[in-house]
Amino acid sequence: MGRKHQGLFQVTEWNKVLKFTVTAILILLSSNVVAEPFAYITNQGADTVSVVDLRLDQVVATIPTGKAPVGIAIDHSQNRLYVSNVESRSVSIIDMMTNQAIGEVKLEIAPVGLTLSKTASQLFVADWFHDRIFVFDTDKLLDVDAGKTYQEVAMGKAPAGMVISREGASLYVANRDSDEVGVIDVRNLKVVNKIAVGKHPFGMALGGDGRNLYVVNVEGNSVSVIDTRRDVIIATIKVGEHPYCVTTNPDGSRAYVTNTGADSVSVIDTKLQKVIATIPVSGFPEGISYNAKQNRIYVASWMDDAIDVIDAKTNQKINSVATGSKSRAFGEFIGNPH
Amino acid sequence: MMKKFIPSKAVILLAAIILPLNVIACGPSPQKVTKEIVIKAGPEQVWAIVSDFGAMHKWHPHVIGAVLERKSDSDGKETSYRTLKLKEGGTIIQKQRETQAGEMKLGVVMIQGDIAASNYSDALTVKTGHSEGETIVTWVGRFNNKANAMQAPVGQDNASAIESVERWYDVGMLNLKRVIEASH
Repeated sequence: MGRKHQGLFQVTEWNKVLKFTVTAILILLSSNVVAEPFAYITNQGADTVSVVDLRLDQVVATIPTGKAPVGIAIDHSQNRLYVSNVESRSVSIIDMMTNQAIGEVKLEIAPVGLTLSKTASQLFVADWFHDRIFVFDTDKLLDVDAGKTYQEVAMGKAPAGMVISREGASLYVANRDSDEVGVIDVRNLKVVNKIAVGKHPFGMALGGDGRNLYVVNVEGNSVSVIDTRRDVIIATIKVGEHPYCVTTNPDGSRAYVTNTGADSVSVIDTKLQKVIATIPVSGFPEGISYNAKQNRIYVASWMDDAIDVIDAKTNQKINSVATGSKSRAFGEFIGNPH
Repeated sequence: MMKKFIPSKAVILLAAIILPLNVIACGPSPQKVTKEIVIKAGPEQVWAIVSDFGAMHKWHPHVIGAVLERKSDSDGKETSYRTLKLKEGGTIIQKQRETQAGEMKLGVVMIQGDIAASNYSDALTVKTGHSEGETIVTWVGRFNNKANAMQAPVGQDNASAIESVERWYDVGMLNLKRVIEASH
């Protein structure tokens, strides 16, 4: 009897341990599986977003959007994608957990660049044709007529790429046709600075430590480096022909720039402030993002309807994945749904 | 009363001279045309003809003459430019795009041109075909409509631009095939 009791006790304890262990393994597994990175590629000619599983480099879903999707912004707090549709003048909202569109906000403008505030409570949409930035409350974007409720900030000419500062206090806007980067104070939505850069700034990215902002000058064939603590230019680096977009690695030691006119990616050593490698890629490379999990760079090719994969260790193209017609992926396009 | 600004002939002339040099920035919704043709000849033979940058008139029926120029671009890099004289009147000035060594790909950017599109660039690629002695030529173009606007007037819209680029590729590639295949 005593022994049996003892035995039962042991079984119960063992069950508890087993249950705990299994739960722990499941949590570990699920976080490992679900938090894997995916690339979300806007296909301007197919009116879709290709979802690429970056463990396999395979398209695992194709999500219909509005007409001519270009820009992308990822909200990790709500697992949402925002996609700008230039021709249908709208923003598609996509649930990253189901890979389904959950809404399409009709706008009064043709949107291209878009980005989120640090907490993702606000969505900034650049109005390329009327020189202003629209500010939407993301909580209300699924409401009827959500596209008519916004605040706006007057900007320089043809605002394109946008980046939020590391602390979230400032929004940097590449004003393409006025050759400057505008700085907006996010709290009061006032323009607090305008920084002259090279000719036709377009794509931008923050350095790994959040201090340096890299601005691609399309017609200057260069990248301007802005120190965001002082909002001044600290370097201008020559890259390839007709560059478009830029991304950086997590420690900020490298910046990668797509050269649409040379079908290549320039690798910049940010300390030396010069190009240390030029990698041939598919035709007309546009959007570029860094996959920190595998240290790979992903590049959207507009001409070849594909996404190229570059190994950051060897600076070699190692793969190319077919996506949809006219891949653009303008914005930070790698996300980790969880 | 404020004097109304009436542009003089000199101002209009000056604008006409300056504007084409000042390359128009790309619109947000570029158009694309892709055309492919199979030619019964080896890739090297096809490449020798299409890569001759100053000799497009030898295979494209809509080009009646070409002038090749080597000069420095805005970065001081030595680059090839060609001025194509068109059968239907007018010219196209193109700059050769950078390509990788050993790659059979010819890319051009239009500097200015009398065509129904703006911001035009393309890539013509020559690849080994699926069967022996065959070559696949692919021509892909990227451009905006002539007006470079989302709501463009008829004749300057996307449909007109696409139609004209498609015709340029179709006519050119068919004749390229004819010229090469007739030469054996």
